[in-house]
Amino acid sequence: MRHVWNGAVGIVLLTATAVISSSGQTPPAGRGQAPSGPRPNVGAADRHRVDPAGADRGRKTYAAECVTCHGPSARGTERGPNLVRSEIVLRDRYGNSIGPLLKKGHPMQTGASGASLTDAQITDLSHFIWQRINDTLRGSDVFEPGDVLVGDPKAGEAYFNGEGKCAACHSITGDLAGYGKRYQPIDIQQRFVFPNTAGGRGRGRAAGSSRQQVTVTVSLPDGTTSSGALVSMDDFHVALRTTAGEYRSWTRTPAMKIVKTEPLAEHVELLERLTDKQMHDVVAYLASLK
Amino acid sequence: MRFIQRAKSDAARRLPAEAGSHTNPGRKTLLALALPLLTAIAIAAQGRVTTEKLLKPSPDSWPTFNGDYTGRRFSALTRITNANVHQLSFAWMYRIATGTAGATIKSTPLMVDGVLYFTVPDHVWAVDARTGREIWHYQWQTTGGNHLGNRGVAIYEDWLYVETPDCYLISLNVKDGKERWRKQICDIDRFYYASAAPTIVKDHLIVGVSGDDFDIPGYIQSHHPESGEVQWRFYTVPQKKGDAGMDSWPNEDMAKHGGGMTWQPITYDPELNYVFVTTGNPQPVIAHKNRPGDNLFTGSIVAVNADTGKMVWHFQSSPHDTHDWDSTQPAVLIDDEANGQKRRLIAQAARNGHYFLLDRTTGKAIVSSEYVKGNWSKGYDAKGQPIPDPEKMPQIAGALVSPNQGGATNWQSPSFNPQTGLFYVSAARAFSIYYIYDPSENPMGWGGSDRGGWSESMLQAIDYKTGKIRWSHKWEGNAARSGIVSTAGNVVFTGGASNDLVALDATTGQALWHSILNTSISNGPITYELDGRQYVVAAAGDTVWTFVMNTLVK
Repeated sequence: MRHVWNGAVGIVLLTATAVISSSGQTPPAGRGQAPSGPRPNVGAADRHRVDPAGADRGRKTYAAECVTCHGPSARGTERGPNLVRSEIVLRDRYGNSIGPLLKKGHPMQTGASGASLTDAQITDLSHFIWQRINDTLRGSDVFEPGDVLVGDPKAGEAYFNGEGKCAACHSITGDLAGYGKRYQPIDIQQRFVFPNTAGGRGRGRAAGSSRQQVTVTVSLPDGTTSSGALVSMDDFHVALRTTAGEYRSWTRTPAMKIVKTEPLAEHVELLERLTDKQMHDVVAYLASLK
Repeated sequence: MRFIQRAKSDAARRLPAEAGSHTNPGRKTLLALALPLLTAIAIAAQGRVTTEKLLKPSPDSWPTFNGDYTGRRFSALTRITNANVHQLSFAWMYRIATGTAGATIKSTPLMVDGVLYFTVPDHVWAVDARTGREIWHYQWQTTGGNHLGNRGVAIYEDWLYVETPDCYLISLNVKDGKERWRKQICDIDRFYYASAAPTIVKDHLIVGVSGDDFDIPGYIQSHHPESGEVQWRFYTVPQKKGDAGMDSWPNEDMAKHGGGMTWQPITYDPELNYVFVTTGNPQPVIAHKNRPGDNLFTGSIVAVNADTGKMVWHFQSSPHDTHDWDSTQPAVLIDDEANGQKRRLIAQAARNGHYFLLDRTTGKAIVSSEYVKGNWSKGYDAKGQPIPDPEKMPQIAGALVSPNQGGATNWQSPSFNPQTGLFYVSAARAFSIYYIYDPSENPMGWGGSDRGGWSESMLQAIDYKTGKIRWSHKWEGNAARSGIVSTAGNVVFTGGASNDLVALDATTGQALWHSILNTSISNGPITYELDGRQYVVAAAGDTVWTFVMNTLVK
């Protein structure tokens, strides 16, 4: 994990009331190149848009003059208020609200007066503090999972070959060969538990690879039978595509027999009985397959 | 501000209702023949919605978000039945034009005097309930805010009320959609927004607020319907020392920023004079280390005196929530009799998968049960509230949790049918893995989320007295996030999984009829009767679809 805080600020961190925050985590690739902010439709239309370069400059001023009282994530300490929840800051745009306050001679940690800050420094401070606000909001781009490799690979192996019955369908020399080289641990965890969403974020839908294709067999009262990939089904209709690529659909009747086959059924059943320990053990085992 | 009035909408495509058979002689036929004229008169002269009309809505209206104050979304109409629902005809469709791609109608239309009123964020429409002809369209010029959705309008006397994403409450003239006044009800700089449908309770116009991106307190607020002046505000989390519930928070600062948004309309008992507020999740949402305690009154049903805004009782359906499970699902009023005693009850199917039946005078639980099996709680406490399992709270390495963030249900309005005794809920059995992203001692905002997921969806019919599932109608694939209306004709209407409006037998759950539309049903369907015909209205994405039973009963 790489810290956003570096150099001089790291030293200050040791002396200040240390509040390690999400901001202390590795920013994902791409951060720092484009102006960042909350989800596009959150907050006022004229909300502050953070200039990452300005925020980087502001961080230096903040570390030198503010961090001791307001804390490394600007969430306050016993000596100074939380800036992230400050209404003065929430109304601030590019320093227009914190500026007048600082210029009144707000005390700073080197003993200098806030009045000595230049307009440019204040704007940069505003970028830096707004970046801290944005880091707390839903969907913030600093929100990344931490270490998921907390399981016991040996226990995971035992589960894989025993209770979990994973080995009935999967092989560590076959489909899972080198699995730990192919995916990050977080992705292994998501793919193992939710193969239907292939590790995606949020409330994803099925990825739809051929191995995961739900199939259906429709038997009509006259004895004819059709099988294929399920295209759609509800209480009234059913449609499939045969291996030959032919699309067929029917209006459902009580006399019609429909049998659906879900290749991921075993994984779905696993959801009910898999404990978090078993999940983390299996992830540790799969991650060890290099 | 821009006001748009179009005599004729090019956006609306209409088909006339089938002529049907006018088997009713006399007055009804005359009424039908004189329709256009009468409609015009109706809009001009009948548009006064009084408290009496709201307390006892007539079957030719749907004057509040839930149809009436009980929140049960039950219609006493019987022209459409489980035996004839397959004969429903397409009446008309109306497609909105907002200039914004993807605008989705999540609002429940109100219908008064033959006019439907519905919304998307920043927009209100008045449309002829018989024909789909646009009467007026109002557009608000926004200054920002979350445009996730708008649940609809309230109507009182000759005025409509609607909330805007940038935190305004506006009052419009029902006749032409002209703005009367606007009042700021929340603060977009603090990441609030406004999406709820306001509710009129006597001379109180009660509004709720939204916003769980940031750590801010929820509240409901009452305005005078005429002047718009604030009458009272009830915070759903304690704001200062001595406030009720403060001992369920570690300190004043966390309580004051503790969330509990109020984004679903209240229900109301006129005899007790209580409004029932249902509250959202606590803040910070997922990373919760700095808010040990139950975090009252988040995730709760709270009874509040309608005249004073003072709390009477509370019941916490989701103590110390860590999964973003708002308990904003409506608290539905049910009256019955047991052992010769009249009972005043209130029921909720909460987002966390649990169903509660309470005494609505006292807030004491009578039934607590799971309506969808979950894995996050360890039984119930002495008050009947679920006990969260600390192991299933979000973890750095992930915890597999059911339901997922979307919940066992969400904003989809349920329905209670007093004839079948069933409480119908649009439900999901869903799993995801919850992660803590901010492991610090002092997280803010979200600090975590869930990832991935598997879900199946179904309509659950819960026996309201026992909490047991009477029947479950599983959808193939993920159903629409649609509300439900049930009727005395023994029919339940809701959105299915095939972009369809589906009618089910209210007693058995058997699927009886469907109509495949442009996209998933996105609001709660309603039903009403006009000129002896029963209509069913549902919205799917940017389109309102209306069906009608043309067969007139002799």
